This record gives sequence, structure tokens and C-alpha cells, in this order.
Amino acid sequence: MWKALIKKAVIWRVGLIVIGLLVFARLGGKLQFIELMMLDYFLRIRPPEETDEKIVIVGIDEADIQSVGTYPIPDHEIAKLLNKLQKFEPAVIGLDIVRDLPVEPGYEELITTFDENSNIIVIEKALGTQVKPPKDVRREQISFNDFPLDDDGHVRRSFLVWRNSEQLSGEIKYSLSLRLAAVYLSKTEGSQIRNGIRDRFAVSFGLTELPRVRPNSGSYVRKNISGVQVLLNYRAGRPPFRTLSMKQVESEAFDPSWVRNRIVIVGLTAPSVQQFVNTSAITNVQQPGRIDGVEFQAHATSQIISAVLEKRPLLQTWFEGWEYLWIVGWGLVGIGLGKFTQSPLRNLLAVGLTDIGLVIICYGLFLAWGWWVPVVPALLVLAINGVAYTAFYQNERALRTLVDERQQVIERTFNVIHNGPLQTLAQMLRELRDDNLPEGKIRPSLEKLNDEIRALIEILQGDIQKGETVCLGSGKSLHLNSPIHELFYEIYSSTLERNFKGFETVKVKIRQFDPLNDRCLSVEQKRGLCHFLEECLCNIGKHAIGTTRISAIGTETDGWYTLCLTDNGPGCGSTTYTGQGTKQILELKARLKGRFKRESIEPRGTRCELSFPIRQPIKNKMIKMLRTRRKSFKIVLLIIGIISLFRVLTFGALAEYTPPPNTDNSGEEETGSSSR
Amino acid sequence: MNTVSLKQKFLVVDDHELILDGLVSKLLHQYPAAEILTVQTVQDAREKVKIFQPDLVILDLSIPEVIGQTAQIDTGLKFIQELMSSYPSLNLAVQTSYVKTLVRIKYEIDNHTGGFTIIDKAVATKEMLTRIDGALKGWINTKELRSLQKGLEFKPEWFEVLNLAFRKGLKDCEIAQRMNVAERTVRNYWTKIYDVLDIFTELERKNGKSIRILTEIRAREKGLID
Repeated sequence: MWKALIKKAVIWRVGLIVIGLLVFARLGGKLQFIELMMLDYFLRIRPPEETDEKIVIVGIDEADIQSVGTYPIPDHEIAKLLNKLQKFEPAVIGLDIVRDLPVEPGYEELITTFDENSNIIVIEKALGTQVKPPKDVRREQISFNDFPLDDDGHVRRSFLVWRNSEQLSGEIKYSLSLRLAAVYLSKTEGSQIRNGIRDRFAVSFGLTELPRVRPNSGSYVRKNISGVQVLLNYRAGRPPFRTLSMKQVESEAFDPSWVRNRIVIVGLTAPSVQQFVNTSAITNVQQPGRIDGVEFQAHATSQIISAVLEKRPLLQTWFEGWEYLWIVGWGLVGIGLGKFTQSPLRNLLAVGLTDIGLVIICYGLFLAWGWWVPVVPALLVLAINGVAYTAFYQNERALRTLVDERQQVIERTFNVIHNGPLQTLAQMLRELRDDNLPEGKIRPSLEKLNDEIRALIEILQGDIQKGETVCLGSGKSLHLNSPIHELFYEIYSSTLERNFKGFETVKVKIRQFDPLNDRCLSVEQKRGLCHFLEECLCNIGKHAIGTTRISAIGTETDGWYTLCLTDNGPGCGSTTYTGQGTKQILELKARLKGRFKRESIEPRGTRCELSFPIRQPIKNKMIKMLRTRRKSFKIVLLIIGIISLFRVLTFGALAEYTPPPNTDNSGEEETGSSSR
Repeated sequence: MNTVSLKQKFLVVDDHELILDGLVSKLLHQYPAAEILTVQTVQDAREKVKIFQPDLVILDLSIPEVIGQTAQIDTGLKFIQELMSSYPSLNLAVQTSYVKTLVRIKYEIDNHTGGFTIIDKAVATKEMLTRIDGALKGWINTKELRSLQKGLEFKPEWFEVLNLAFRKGLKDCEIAQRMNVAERTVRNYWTKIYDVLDIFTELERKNGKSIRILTEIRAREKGLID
């Protein structure tokens, strides 16, 4: 078992090195950038979704600032806007505008508004350079509006919870999106924030768990992840949310149902004063590559409530081990494709189709369940192993054999000319000079010369035409491109013409070679089979003295092809066949995964039999494997079941959400904030 | 040789016009009423066999697939295989200077039910016409394929036919039943056996011999049946 594995590894070394290099590159984070681009691309090409009517954005635009006449917008204006919105009974209002310092006039009025309406959520900036929340606001009404940045400045994740890392008992802070979603869900559904069951530090509502981003989730490599974050599944399609301007709200120029019992997020949309969020995950015609900060908050809130209420998929990743197994798996598929497709064109086609299939599978997983699987590394390893490796390997091999063959052709041609026609000519010339050549002898001599030169042409033709050849002891060379049963007939005929003692007494020969689909045989295996047949026939010629009957039959039964040679000579009991020939046969047997036996038969004679399986379709193999491994599958499933049950029992009953302790406070993660 | 008054249809395939002309004139001399069609490529031949439905196809082994391509033996071999699998009872006479290459399609030749004769390009005209006539009558003549070997070459089925006929004394219909094949197939096996045993049925009948008895005698001589 191990020996076989190591042997395979040696044959596949180039492919395995490619896999190793790719895995290494991914572990080193070299593929992170391109994988993140692929994620953006997958998100971008999704079919558009309907506008999420549960969230409405109130954006303060340039015209609103102009009409107010001053910036920052005074507290009085904000309080007026909030009170106007409250008239329409929204479920919750998020004020995504910084108010750490009073902006007179109207500070007192704004503080009173916050105090009287517990469904208004205000913001602070909690990470990096901190910005305080408005003074004297209840803790439950405060959230933070930071968002984590990737190395390329794009935003692909959103915060849920963050705990000040300096004290383990530090204050737990909730992000704006989580606060808004939590208030909304508790009002409409009555579901509260809980710890997850599968992942105990994930945030969950009811049965919906928000998959937590880990330092090595997806393509991230040792990413410094602060707090609890989720990947952001941006809502596709424009517009994702309804948007009102401050003026529209003040003049009540909208349908009241847009706001009643819905989430309202108030923020700045005027380009001059707000901060944008960079993303290529959605196609935004007005501002390519970026969205308003307030819209980002709406996306983050929307994905939570849609996941809980509508089971809209959240982006999730595999356990890291599975990801590498997946990559290695596709690498092996690539090697397999290279191995089983002989012609470059077919190889290219197979690799192309498999690549397309892989992308379709990944995109399907992504669309249906939000699985972000490593598509780029798998594609790379498949393509490199499938095409480049095969091309490299086959080219090298072809070149080497070509050079060898040319050399052989030159030597053989020289030999044949020297031993054949030149000798005949020399003899004829001598006899002519001696006047010793009678009229009757000229014709046979010329005919002989003719035959010899023709034979030479045959050898040269066979060699010059491309493709591998097999050279027989009779001097004949055959193309291995021909169907194997045709080769059998040629070998049979040409070997029996040789001058072996055993053939002299033969009276009856029974022979039949059924055609077989030899696409599953490699050139080497075909060569081996040809030599096997020749070897067996020669053995009969050499050892089975006095045989009168030879039978050579190739038949196919039940997926096995059997080559059986029998004679009625003295039998092999006394003769020991332990030479080079037998060694080669045993090697061939191993390569074909076949069976071989040689035995004496009654009343006299020897039977030599080689059988090998003809490759079955992959489907049958899979079914067979599933059947034989059924027990192991069951055990694995049982273990998974027990673990899940255990986790439900231990953690399911926790009353309130507790975030994970922050162990790593060495490096601060780069973050941004959607306001100011 | 008897000329048949029935109007026969020949298809001659050869890429050398000179040879074509010579062959056609000889054929016309032998079969004055015959309808003879000539083509030079595999592509044309394939089409004509379908439409014309000849009684006999005389084919050069070295022919091009289409006009302009070089003539290759492989092309001819492939075409013969194709013809044999599409028209299992078509009569074929194959001309070639490389008789040996036909060994490669021995499997198909053995299983072919129509006539099949090989004409070495080096043989004299009279012998060539005999072979053509043989193919037309549905005979098999593949003597050249085994000329250099010792002993007789048999397919397992033919051997069984001999055994059932001469050891058990069964009739063709009974043999067919035992072997689980059609009676027509058994008759085809017999023609193959005659070919292997060098029994030229036409000639022997003329000499007033019984073919089956002659076959038995020959088979015993050669040690096929003990």
C-alpha cells in the first residue's frame, strides 16, 4: 500500500510539486488579493435582488445642506428631522451622524429627543481614533459605526461586536447594524441575540447563526480580525434600498408605509462632507467602485434581518483543512486529466471543460448557500497540472523518444542495407564476372533483391511516421497507434514465420483476437502486451518441440480481456522459465493489474494465460467505493451528529450574547468609519 | 471460365488511371455485359457503393481519401474495414503489392460473410481474373496471408464445425443449433474452411468430387481430426 503510494508520488512528482507550491503560496497569502477580487466578481455577477423595503435611508444631500445654510447641521435641525420621522412610527432609527460635541442651536432639544425615544440609536467611533457618542445617552442606544478595511482599501466585512481588549471585562460594544437589526427583530419577531450553537462565539438570532470571520477564513491569511465580524453579502441590484432626502421628510412627500414599522437610517449623502466605502462587489453606475457610508450600514443591517427572516444566504467559509483538501483534490484531478488524455487537443478540451465545471460548481455553492470556496487556487492548480504539466511532461518524453528513434533508424537502416541488398548484389556481381550466372538464376536473385528493398522501405515508413513503435524480433516494426487486436494478428503472423524448431511440426493453428476498446491502455501497456504475445509464441517455438497444435485466443468476458496461448508440446513441467522474459511478464501483469498463469495441461502441452481488467467507467467505481466504505461513512456521520447534539445541549441555553475574549491585542486592525 | 449472362455491376477503385483503364478493358473482355464504374478516391467509392450497390468491389489497397492527398495503405485498410462492417456480404477483391499488411485486418476478414480474395499485383492476368471471378462468386481466397507459415490457421468456431460434422456426423442445421448461430453462418464457416484447406470448390466439383468428403479427407490428412 505505502510502496504503491510512494511509487505513484514519484511518477506524479511534477504535479505534486505544483500542488505543493500552490498550497504554500496560499498559506503565504500570495493568492489573497486575486481571491478577494474573485469574491467581488462573484458578488457582482449575481442576478439582481428586489429592493429591501424593510430599510429606508434618509440621506442629507447637498440641497439639504444648502437649504439649512450651515454645516455641521445644527442639533435643532436633526432633532426636528427625528421628531418628524417618529410621527410615522418607525421600528427603529439609526442616526449615522457624529454628535460628540454640541452644535448649537438646539443641543438640549436633541438630548431630550434621544432621551424620550428609546428606539433611536446613536453612534460613536470605537476603534482607532475614537469619537465619543453624544453625552448622557443610555448605553442601549449607543453603537459604533466602524468598518474593517482590507489591504486594498475595499470593505468586504462588517463588525457585529467589539470588546475593548485592554480589560478582559471590558465594555461590550455593538455595531450600528447589529443594534438596528436586534431592535427590529425583537420588535417584529421577538427573537433576541444569543450565542451560536455550532460556533459558540458567533452571534445568532433564533436558529440563524451569523458565521464569524476567523483570521484564516476563506482567502484571508493570518488576518488581524478585531471583535466579531461577518463577511458582507452586499445586496445586488439597484436601488438596494429606498432613499428619502431631508427635504422630502420635512415636507412629508412620501408614502407613510415606507417608514411605519421599518428601519430608518439617517446619514449624510452629500459628496462634500461624507466618507465613502470602497467596494467592487456591486455595480454602482453613479459612483463606480464606492457607495455612501450610510448605504453600507444599510447593507450590513439588511443582510442580518434578511438572513433571519427570509433565510437569505450569508457568506460563509469552509474549515481551513477542507479548503486545502479541496485544492489538493483538484490538483489530483488535473494530474488525472493529463494522464488519461493522450492528445494535446483532447487534453486542452478536457481541462477547459473541467475548469468551466469547477467555476459553475463554485458559483452554484456561492449562490445557493453563500459558500465562499477557494475557486482561484483550485482553478490554478487544475489548469497548471492539466495543461502545462502534461505539455511539459509529454513534450519531454516525445523529444527523448524521437531522438532515440532517429538514432535507431539510422543504425537499423545501415544494418539492413549492409546485410541484405548489398550482399545479394555483391554475390550477383561476382557470379556475373565469373560468367557463372545462368539465365534461370537471375530472376530469383532480382526478386530477392526486390523483397529486401521493399522490406527496408517498410521499416523506414514505420519509423518515420509519427507515433511510438514496437520492434519485433523478426525485424518488423509495428505502430502502437493501431488497434491492439490488429497488432496481435501482425505479431502472430510474423512470429510464426520465424524459423523455430517448435513450429516445424505444427499442423493446426487456432487463433482469434477479439477487438477491444484499447483507449484505456497506455502506449507502454500496449508495447508490453505486444512483447508478451511475441514472447509466448517464441517460447512455444523454442521449447514446445514436436507440438502439432497451437492456439492463440484473445477474448473479452465480464470486463476482463484474456490472452490464452496453448500448445500440445512436452509441457513446461520440466523446463524452468525464470529468464528475463518471465520477469517482463510479471512486470506487465502488475502494470495491468491483471492475472497471469503458466501451467501444463492434460494430456500434454502448456497453457499460458494473461488476463487484465478493461477499465470500467468512473461512475461504477464510485458506486463500488461508496458501497465498500459504507460503514466508515456511517461512523463519521454518527460522530458528527453526537458532537452537534452535545454542542446544542451545552451552549443553546445561554441567555445573553457574550463575545469571545480578545486574546490578541498586538496589532490594531485598519478600520474606517461611515461618518465624518 | 464461364461468362455469366446476367448483367453484373462492378466498382473499381484505383488512383492510377493507367491501371484503371487496363483493368476495365480486361474486365469488359471477360464480362461483356457488365456495368463497370470507376472511382479514384475513398470518398467517391463510399458514395458509389451506397448508390450503385455493386456485386463486386475491386479495390487497390493504396488509395487516397480525397483527390490531392497521397495514397496510403492505411487509408485503404480503414476503408475495407468500414465496407466490411457496413456491408457484411459485399464481395471484395483487393489488389496490392503489400499483401502482408492485410494480416492486420484478419479479424474482420475472418468474420466477413461475402467473397474476399487477395490479388497480388505481381500475379499474371489470368490468375487475377480467376481471383476476381472467385470473389464475385462469394469465395474466400486468402492463401497469400499464410504462405510463409507452417500449419493451418483456424478460428475456434471453424474447428468446432469440423468436429461436429466429421466426429459427430451432424448436418449443418444441427451444427447451427449446437453452436447457437444461424445456418447461413455455418455455411459461411464452411467456405472459410475450404479456403484454409485449399479446396477450390468449382474445380473439384467439375472433377466430380464431393466437397464434404474431400474436406474430411484433407482434414484427416492434416491432423485436424484424429
